[in-house]
Amino acid sequence: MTLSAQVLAVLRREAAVERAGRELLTTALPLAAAFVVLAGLAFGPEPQALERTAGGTVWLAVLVATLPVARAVLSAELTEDTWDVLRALTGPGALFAGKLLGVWAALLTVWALTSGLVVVLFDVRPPLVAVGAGVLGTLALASLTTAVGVLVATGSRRRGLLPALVLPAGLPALLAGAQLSTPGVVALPWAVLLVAYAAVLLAACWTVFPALLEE
Amino acid sequence: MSMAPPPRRIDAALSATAGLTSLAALVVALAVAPPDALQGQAQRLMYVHVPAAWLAYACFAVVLVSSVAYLLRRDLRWDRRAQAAGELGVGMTALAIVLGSLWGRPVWGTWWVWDPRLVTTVVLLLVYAGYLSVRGLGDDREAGARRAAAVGILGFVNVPVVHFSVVWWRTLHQPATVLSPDPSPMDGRMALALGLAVVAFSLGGWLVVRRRAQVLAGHDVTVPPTELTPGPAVVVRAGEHR
Amino acid sequence: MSVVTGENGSGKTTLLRLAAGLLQSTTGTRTCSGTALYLRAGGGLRSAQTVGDAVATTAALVGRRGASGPALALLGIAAHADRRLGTLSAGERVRATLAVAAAVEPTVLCLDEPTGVLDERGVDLLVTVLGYLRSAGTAVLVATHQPAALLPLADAHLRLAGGRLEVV
Repeated sequence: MTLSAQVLAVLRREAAVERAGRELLTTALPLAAAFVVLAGLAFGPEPQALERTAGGTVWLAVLVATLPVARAVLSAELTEDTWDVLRALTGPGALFAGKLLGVWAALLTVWALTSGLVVVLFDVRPPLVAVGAGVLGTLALASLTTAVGVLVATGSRRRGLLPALVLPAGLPALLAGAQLSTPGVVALPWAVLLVAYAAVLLAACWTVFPALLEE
Repeated sequence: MSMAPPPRRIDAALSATAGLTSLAALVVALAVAPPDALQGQAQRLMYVHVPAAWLAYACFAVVLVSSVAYLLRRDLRWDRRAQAAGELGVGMTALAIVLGSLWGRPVWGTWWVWDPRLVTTVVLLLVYAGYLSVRGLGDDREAGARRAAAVGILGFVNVPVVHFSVVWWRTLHQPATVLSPDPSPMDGRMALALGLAVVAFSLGGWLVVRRRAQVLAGHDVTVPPTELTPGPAVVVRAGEHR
Repeated sequence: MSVVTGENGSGKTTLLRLAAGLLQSTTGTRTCSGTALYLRAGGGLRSAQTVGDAVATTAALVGRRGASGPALALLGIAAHADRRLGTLSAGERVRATLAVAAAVEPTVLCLDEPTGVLDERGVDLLVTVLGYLRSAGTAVLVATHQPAALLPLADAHLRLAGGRLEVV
């Protein structure tokens, strides 16, 4: 099988598992929705305050959602004893890419939901470039979540370490994402930064991933 | 995986030079260098704050190099160097932050500012605290080393991006005096004190990492490979009935 | 096909995982010309999925989605294809695991303790599947505490004791 066919097979299996278990739908999305509503209560109700905090709220919610996403897409494979099968039947590249795409799709969904919610609840009109930030930022966070998620899940203790590792490293996505979601901000430097961030993380995570598959 | 007997003489020479440089740095920083015209005595914190930050960054660079070397060579000596440097780096980062805060209070009138260098340093502290925690994820020594190496690499390559994102987010730090391309306005005696302190910290840090790696090597001493003689090779294949 | 026996903790699982390439050996070398699959009986499938879906999406990883239907039929669980794995009994789960092996047809199959929870019919099916895989060219390594049913099919009976592997 070609690499792309294997990646597609991993992704299809991912979609089938989610269709069957609805784990992301029932964990990450309610978490993100609750986060936005509570953030509105914490920072509001003044419209100016909500407008200022909308972008940051979206990206904080996405960052926080990496935890249930990593649980559903990565650590469940280990607790359900299916990781060995995946490792045996797919190469490290296909496994990384397939899982990355699965996590990316989940984080993109979280981003889309929270972005929609702040538009309605916070009454903001994010610029069009916010969509690009959503795509790139969630890609960068997805590669980080995939690598660190596997790293943490293959351990036997301290499984809660994931956010402590992902959140600080997710800072550029938070800053660039929040800035690019705010009207009137000069977009170019942030777009360049986000591209660089995604490229660096993708390359680094791709490089270290095979070492994380060893036992 | 056992290390050759540590060359004690290097340790002794390092201890002596680090001790002497520290003493010299202490004397020059406290007695020879004048107090700062604007900041007064508080500025003397710089002689510890700057070297601590420098040593922390150097330690994290050592973590990166050792992590890459470990993943390529799979020699636990590199992992022990990475861990020793990581521990010292976390300590120095914390020291730099606390001293910076103490220095900032009288000078800027606040314990904390949202400045790129400060934020980056705090993110470094968080990332490398995570780096040290990763080793406790399981009991397998080699797996712990692989995980730590992965975090050591991911953590470091991310630092420039983190830094630039905070730079663009906000800049209000005083420009770095020594590193700025303008002619240095620093008093010669101050520069001497700072230089001596940086050398003292570097030598001391090198010594601490060496000694700590030796201690960690003691923990890694394992039973020699095996006293069992290898049995006959086993070939598993599909085949006909006997 | 080889059957491996040995006491609890003698290293059967470690041997199988080494053979499957999941564990790296500290000394020695391992060569394998194709896919090596390690399966713990009852494991290897996500519990949220239905039996048919789980086996099909797993077989699809090696481009053999079409083999999942016949594999379920071979194991006598085609009627359960629409049931969730989580609702199956322990013995039925083992059959689902075996269906994965039959569908994937790996070059090397390392099967960990498949006999423990199987009933008589299940053991017969196990023998059928292993015989089928053997004829398909799969090298099989089975670790078990109840080797009796499998030995007639086996080319070798290996015993692990005190860190040594002996041919019985």
